[in-house]
Amino acid sequence: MPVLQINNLTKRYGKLTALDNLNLTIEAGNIYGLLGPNGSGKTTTLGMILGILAKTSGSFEWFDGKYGDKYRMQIGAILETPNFYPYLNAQKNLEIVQDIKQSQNDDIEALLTTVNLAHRKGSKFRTYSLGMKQRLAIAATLIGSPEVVIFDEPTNGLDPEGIAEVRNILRRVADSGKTVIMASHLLDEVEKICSHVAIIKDGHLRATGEVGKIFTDDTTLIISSNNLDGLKDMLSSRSYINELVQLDNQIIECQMSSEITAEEICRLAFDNNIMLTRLETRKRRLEDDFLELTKGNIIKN
Amino acid sequence: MLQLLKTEIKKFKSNSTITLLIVFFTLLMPFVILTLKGVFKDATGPIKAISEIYDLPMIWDYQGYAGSWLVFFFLGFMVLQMFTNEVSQRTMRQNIIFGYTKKEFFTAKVTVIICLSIFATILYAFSSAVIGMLHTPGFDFELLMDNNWAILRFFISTLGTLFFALLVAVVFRRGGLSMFIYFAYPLILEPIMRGLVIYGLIKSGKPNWTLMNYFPMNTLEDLMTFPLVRTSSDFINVHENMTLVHSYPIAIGMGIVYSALFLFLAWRSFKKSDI
Repeated sequence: MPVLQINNLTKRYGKLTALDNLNLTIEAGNIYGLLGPNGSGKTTTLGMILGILAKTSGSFEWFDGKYGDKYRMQIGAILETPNFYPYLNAQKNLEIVQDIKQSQNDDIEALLTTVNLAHRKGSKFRTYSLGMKQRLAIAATLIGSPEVVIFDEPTNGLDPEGIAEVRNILRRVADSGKTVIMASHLLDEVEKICSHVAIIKDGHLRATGEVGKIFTDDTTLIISSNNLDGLKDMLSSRSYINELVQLDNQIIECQMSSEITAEEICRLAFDNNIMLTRLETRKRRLEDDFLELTKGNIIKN
Repeated sequence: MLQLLKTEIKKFKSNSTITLLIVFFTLLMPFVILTLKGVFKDATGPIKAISEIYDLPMIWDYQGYAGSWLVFFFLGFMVLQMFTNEVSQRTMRQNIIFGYTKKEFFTAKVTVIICLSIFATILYAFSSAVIGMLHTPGFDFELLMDNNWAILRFFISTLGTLFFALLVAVVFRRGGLSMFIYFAYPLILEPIMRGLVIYGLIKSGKPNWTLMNYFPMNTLEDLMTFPLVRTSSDFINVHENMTLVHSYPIAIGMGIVYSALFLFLAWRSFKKSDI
C-alpha cells in the first residue's frame, strides 16, 4: 500500500523552478532515500509534502487520504537543522511535541534512552552539541509512534563518531517497521541505509527504484589479447557480459555482472585457446552511477 | 483551546524574558499610580486637588490610563517576543511539521492574548477598586460602580493593543523590526499621519478635526484617555463645536472594530505566508 503518492508536484519561485513535475510513489515499509546534490530540490519536496511550503501545481496524497487533514499526526519529521526551544530541556521539549501530537502514551525516558540522551535529559537544548540536537530530533520524530518518519540530511555537520551513532539509530528506526523517508546528498549514506532511492537533480527526477537496481554492482574488465577478434567472439556470446567496447587495437573494456569472476574469464580464454596479455578488473563505483545519473539526462526507472 | 493554552504556558514557563515581563507588569499595575503620592504629599491649592485622582470614580480613569501604557510596553512587548521568537528559533515551522495546523498555531497565540487581556483587566479592576475604596471618604457601593464602563473599556483597549502587536509580529516577523514598528507606529508614524490628513483638509478648506480621532491607535487611546484631555475636549466641544476624543460608546464600538480588523489581518497574513 502506498503511504505517499506524489503526482506532478511542482514548485516555482518566480522564474526559478525548484521542483518540476515530480512523480513518486512510496510504499509502506520502504526506507526511501531522496538523493541529490545540494540545491537539487530535496528539501523543497519534503517542505511541500509536509505542508509548510505551498505547492505551485500538482498534488500529493498521504495514506490514501485515510487520515484527512490530520495526516501529519502520523508523520514524524525533521527538516534541515533540529529546531527546539533553546531554554527548555530535552524532556520539556519532547513534552511539547507530545502535546502537539496529542499523544500522551509515549515513554519519553525510553525514547531518550533509544537515542542515548537520557543522561542529558535535564540539560537545556542550547547546551547540546550538534550530534545531541540531531539525536533529540530523532527522538521527537518518534513521538506518537508515527507510521512514517522523515529525516532531512540527518548526519549533516556531524563528526564521524556522530555520523555512525545517528546511522545506527536510523537503522534501528527502520528495523522497527516504519516507513522512512530520508533526504541526503551522501550516496554512501543512502546506500547503507535505504532500500529504495529517488535521485533528484535541478528539480527533476533522474531515477527511482530499488537501490540494488539503480546502482549496479557491475565489474569493469580491461582485457587484451593477440587474438582480439577471437576474444570478442568469445565474450559477446556470454550472458553475463553486459557491454563490450573496443578501446584500441588491443584492448577491450567490458562490463560484467557479479556472477562471474576474473579467474573464470581467464580459464574460459585458456579453454578457447586464447592467450590473454592483460586482465584487469575494476569495480564500478556507486559514485560513477550517481554522477552519471545526475550529470546527464538519463532516466532510469 | 485549553490544551493549546497549556502547551503555550509550557513554552514560556522557562523563558526568562517573558517571565520578567509578566512579573514586572503584575507588580507595577497596582502600584505605579501610587508612586505619585509622594509628589502630592505636601501640595496645596490646585495641586492638592490633583491628588484626588485616587478617589472614586476618578481612579478608574487615571489607573486605566497608566495601565494602558503598561499594557503597551510590557504585554505588547511580550506578544512580540512570543511570536517573533518562534519565527527566529524556527520552532513555529517545527510545530507545524510536528502536526499543528496553521490555524491551531495561530489560535494558540490568540488564546494567550485573550487570557493576558482578561488577566490585565482583572488586575486593573481589582487595583482600582481597592485604591479607590481606601482613598474615598464616605465610600458606598454605588460610587464604586459609577465608572462609565471603565472595566469593559480597559479590556477592549488591552485586547486591541495586543492584537496590534500580533499583527505587527506576523507581518514583520523579525524581532528588531517588529519592535521598531510596534513602538514607532503609535508614537511617531500615526501622529504624523494624523497631522498630514488634518493639514490637507485645512488646506482644501474643509477642516474636519474629528477625522483624526478615527485612526486606529488614537481610537484605542480614546478608550482610556488621560482624564484632563477628555475634560479639555468637552470644554472645546462646547465652544468650538469640535471634539478631541471619541465619546465612550463610539470609542468602544470603534475599539471592537479595530481589534477585529487587527486580528483578521494578522490571520490573513499568517495563512498566506510560507512557514
